[in-house]
Amino acid sequence: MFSKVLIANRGLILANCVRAVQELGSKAIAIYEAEDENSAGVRNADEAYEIQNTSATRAYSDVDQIVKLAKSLKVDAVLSGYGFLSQHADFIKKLQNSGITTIAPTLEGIHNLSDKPAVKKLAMKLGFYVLPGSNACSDFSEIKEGVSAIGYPLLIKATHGYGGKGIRVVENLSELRSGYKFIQSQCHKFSMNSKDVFLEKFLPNAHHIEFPVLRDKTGNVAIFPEQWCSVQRRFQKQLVETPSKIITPEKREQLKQVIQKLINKLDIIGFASVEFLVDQDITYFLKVNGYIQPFYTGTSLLTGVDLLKEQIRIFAGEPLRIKSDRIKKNGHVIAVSICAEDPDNNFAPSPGKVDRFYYPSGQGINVQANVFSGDTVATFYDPMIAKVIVRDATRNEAIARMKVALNNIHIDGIKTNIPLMRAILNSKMFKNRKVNISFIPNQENRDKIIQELKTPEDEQIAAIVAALELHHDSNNQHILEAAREDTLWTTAARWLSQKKSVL
Amino acid sequence: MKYTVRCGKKHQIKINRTESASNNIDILIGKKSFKVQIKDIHTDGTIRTISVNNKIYPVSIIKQQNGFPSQVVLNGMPFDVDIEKIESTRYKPKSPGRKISGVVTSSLPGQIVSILVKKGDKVRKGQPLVILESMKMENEILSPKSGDISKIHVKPKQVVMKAHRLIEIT
Repeated sequence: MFSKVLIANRGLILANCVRAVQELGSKAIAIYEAEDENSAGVRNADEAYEIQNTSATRAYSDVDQIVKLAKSLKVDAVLSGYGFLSQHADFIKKLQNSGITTIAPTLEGIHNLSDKPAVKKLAMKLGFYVLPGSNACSDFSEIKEGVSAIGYPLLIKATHGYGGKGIRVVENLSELRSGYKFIQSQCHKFSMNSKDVFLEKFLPNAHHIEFPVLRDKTGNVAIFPEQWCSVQRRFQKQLVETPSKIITPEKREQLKQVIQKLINKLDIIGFASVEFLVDQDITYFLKVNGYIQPFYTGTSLLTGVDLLKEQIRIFAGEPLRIKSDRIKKNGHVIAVSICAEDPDNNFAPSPGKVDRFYYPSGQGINVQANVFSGDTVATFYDPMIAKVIVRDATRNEAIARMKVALNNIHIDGIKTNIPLMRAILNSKMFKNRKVNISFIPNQENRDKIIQELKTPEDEQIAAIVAALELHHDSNNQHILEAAREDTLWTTAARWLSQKKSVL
Repeated sequence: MKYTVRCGKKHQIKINRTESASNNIDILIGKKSFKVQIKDIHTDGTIRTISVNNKIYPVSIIKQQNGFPSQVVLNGMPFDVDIEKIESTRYKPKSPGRKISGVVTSSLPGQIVSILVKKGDKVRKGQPLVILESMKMENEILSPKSGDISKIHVKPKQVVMKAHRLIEIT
């Protein structure tokens, strides 16, 4: 095992990585930007180093500063989680040249996965259905040519995109043009290794599922039960269930066999997730991601396997300890991301200081949080502050457990997506498994399910709180005094006196 | 004292503080009575925790500049509230919230990615006007009302602070 691991990430993933590294008996080194200082991962790390933002780049993407620090601290591994530098070829190469192991997709893995149209072709050869799409395109005329064979609506995607970054739905030529421009700017911003894009048919009524996979250096593979991830916004998952109820057990076994071949062919080490769209009983292969996935914890609770720790073990050269056919599914798991954002205001981030955070706990309820009472949600990065994960024997019981858990959360100081998550769990559409990838992006749907959640009793109590707040607050006594005196007669008298002074 | 509060619909609320030592406040909405206790307040005096008919609610209250509550977060759910009447009068200090301002400001610090409208454009309420990047995400700033774009104060790539004027609609 490693003796010292530097974690090149922030937020909840940092907190989780620090925990996993420490549990394995290694020292966890955190890096942070000044405004992230008050967060769980930084507090819990064995050592934490502030990285300065330079004019050229934000701290967490600063290859040179982080590599320099890793070398001077003599760490033997760098764990980069997801996003930021987790797929940055130059970063990984520089660390390798310094003899530091990267717990991240290998350069070969990145190379193999990065040409997504080529991965799709390979998947098709192995027997998967794939969506109609184009090859990688490097200019707009190639893109335009690609459209005729696919037809609108379609997705324009960065070949090196990840985590919902670099994807747009387009319905006509002008959106195609603006979408292309937008994605090129994202490629630059998220330091993707290439600016190429490709096109893919968009299926608005589909469901999204994905299989988490572990593979060790000798080629042992463990494929975990799939996650259902159709509750998405801006292509980022908000709520995940596992196992899904979308595919039959026979279909699951069939898919797993092909996934095993695909992962071996791509020679992926560590963690991968294999994504599919399910539309009218056809399962289309989408892509393979080579980095640990934010919702891995849901699978961990379902199966009892800590995927993050296993990933670190694999990179330390240990063999995989679990086989696909030995993985136990223990009931049903639902996981929700709690994000500091304002659903009333087009999901604008809602940074601020958390005055009070009551979080749920109890049998089968797992809360992983990055901020607590008194902490600050920073203004620049991902707004995810916690994950709530529940497990129970059946899906209906897991829904009931999650509903109660979310009812018991109270967060002061920032706005969150909790009302929306509660509304989804409360809706008939969700209960009947009719929520597809287009449900949440539609504002009418969101308004409708949130309205269904508001009871007349809650409205009465909110009205009481408002009146009582005004009533009890001594700062407002002058308002109340004025109100008592403000009869029709005094209003008229005041109006007259104002009139006079003007004259 | 009587209050008329709009929250979903109009609620006529009567607050009586009883003289007993229990801190109970008797509140009537129409003929329905509620036993209310203020359990905890912030240092600035704002109610933090309240009990209504023996059920405890942590609450957050968002106020306008004039001190009137504009939103109550209850069970994690924001409820828009508006105190329309106090006692029998229509007294209320000038409320900035009633009329929707056409001045669009940034609610967060960030960088302008693109401006989706030109001066003179007609826009609908809810139409995206500007894309602002903040917290690593692109956020569409939506039009607060329908009207014409009269002024554009920012340029793409410009870094803006919170409450920076972006666009004006008349």
